Amino acid sequence: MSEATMRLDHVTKTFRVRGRSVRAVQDVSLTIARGETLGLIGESGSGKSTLGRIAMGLTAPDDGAALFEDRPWTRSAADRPRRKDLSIVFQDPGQALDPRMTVGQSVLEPIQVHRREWSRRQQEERARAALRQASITDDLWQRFPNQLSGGQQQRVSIARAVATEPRFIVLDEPTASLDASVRHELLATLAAIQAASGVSYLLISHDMETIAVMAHRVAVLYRGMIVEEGPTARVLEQPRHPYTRSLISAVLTTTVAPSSAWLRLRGTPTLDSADEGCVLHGRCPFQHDDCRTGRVAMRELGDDHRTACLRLDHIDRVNSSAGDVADAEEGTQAPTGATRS
Amino acid sequence: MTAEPPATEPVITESPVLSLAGVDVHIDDLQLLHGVSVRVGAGETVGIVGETGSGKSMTLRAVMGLLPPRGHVSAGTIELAGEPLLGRSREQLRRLCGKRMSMIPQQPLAALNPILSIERQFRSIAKAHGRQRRTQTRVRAAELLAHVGIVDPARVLGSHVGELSGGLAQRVAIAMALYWEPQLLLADEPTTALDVTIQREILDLLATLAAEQRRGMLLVTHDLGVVANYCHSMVVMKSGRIVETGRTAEVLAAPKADYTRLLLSAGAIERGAA
Repeated sequence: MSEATMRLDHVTKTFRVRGRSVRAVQDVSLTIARGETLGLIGESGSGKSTLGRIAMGLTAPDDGAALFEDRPWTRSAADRPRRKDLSIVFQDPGQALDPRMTVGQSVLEPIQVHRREWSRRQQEERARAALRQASITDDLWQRFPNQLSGGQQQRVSIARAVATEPRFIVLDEPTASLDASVRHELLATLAAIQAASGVSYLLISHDMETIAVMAHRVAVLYRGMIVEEGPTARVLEQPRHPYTRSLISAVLTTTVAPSSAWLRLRGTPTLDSADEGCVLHGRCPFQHDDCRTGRVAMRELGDDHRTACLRLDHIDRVNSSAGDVADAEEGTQAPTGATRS
Repeated sequence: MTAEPPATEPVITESPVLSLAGVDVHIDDLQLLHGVSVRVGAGETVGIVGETGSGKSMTLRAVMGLLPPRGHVSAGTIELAGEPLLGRSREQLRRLCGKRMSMIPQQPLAALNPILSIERQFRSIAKAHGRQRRTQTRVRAAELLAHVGIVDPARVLGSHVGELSGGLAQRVAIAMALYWEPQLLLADEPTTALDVTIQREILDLLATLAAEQRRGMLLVTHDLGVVANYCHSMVVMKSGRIVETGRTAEVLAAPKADYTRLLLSAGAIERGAA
């Protein structure tokens, strides 16, 4: 997978929030290859959706560029990426679909816009094919969104997104509003579409299971910066950055005991961006004076796995001397779960 | 390794904090709940799990007397510490809600009033169940905010919900729910809208609060991970019926109902399937 479908090149975006400037995205570089799914994880406000919008050309970065198949969005109309080659699926299909349009009309619309040269019949055939790809049966063609279940609505959104046969799709929390069983079927559909068409996905999700099943690689975003990136299994099973470790160990499962396993950060995230030092400084249980001012560069860990942390060697030492970091490190604490003592 | 259930055993007394027995709920001719029975003991957290439309939220609404229009409990009993809740007037229920039992919302940002300051909302909670001086309310509110882990109660009291993050707003909503020291906390997906790390903090907080005053807690969630880690016992619902109930550790280790097994497998997909 060497051919890049989407490339973000040192992208930065700052918003003004109540008179303060907030860096939503800070010097982010990412590449998504043809047929690849890159998972983007991080908390609310970490900049995930802004990155998705920048990739789609919906938000212009202050600095850096988003390039679709090597074409930046900033080029002249003739030379910039074409809308039909990219699309996006949102979290809430109930809001994303036009309530006054039938399923058929919703899926036909992008085809009518981008394939004006096609006959009505060709357009309709493509729309029906898109619905089939999303596993929506023909008898729903005349239905309105409010006559569909949440899962069916999201399938219609997916059909609409693939209608123009795009080569890149941003999936922004595509299954967050769905029940677990429906979620799995939908993810299987998305995987099948990718296998058949070679489309690339930027998958934004806070659900580690969704990421684990769908993503080939994962990038972890904290306050607009990528703190860790690598193959999915590596990042989820052997996270190296303290933030990634905190995030992943916070996930509650039915099979893993909780108690001491959660690496708890100090305090709460803030919007204020420090100009220097590590983005996690002030919250990290492993921090040191260097972290406040030092320059934090991405460090290669091998196997396409990299992280931006100055204290890796220290953390590794602590890890090897004490089995459980959460117990060994000053500043971390087991959850206060009072029913467990 | 299976999940550790909460270590402290709740005391199941003769009269539980909350008891539902054989509850049916109808909206007109449509039956939404079929013979639902749930007991919550003092200091016990009971989780209700199920997918959309299983009746888990409807069960909670039946307890609060907040069924949708034309919805009513058509059979069964609901008792709060041995006292029947059904057949009470709206006014009688209002006096109980917020005082002896209170609800923690799913979406605190939406549940809090956007145009009133947090302090002003505490004042209306105070006024709903008694007479209190403003300064008294303010002191109590600040204490509660500190108790739920808010560092700067004075600032939060003066702010509006729009200025708070989701996690902070949920702490505020929990502090409000505690104002009158309820025996029973009802929480409908209290952490669904929050990030995983914030979810852990809020659930830890709820567990602490329930344990310290031996409060009963009924926690509605679709997340089996939440149940496994925070609930002493669990109730699995499907299509308005209870399909399985028992001690959490036992149900998770050896689920009897096919539907429970399905939920469990749906929650643990294999990696790399794509």
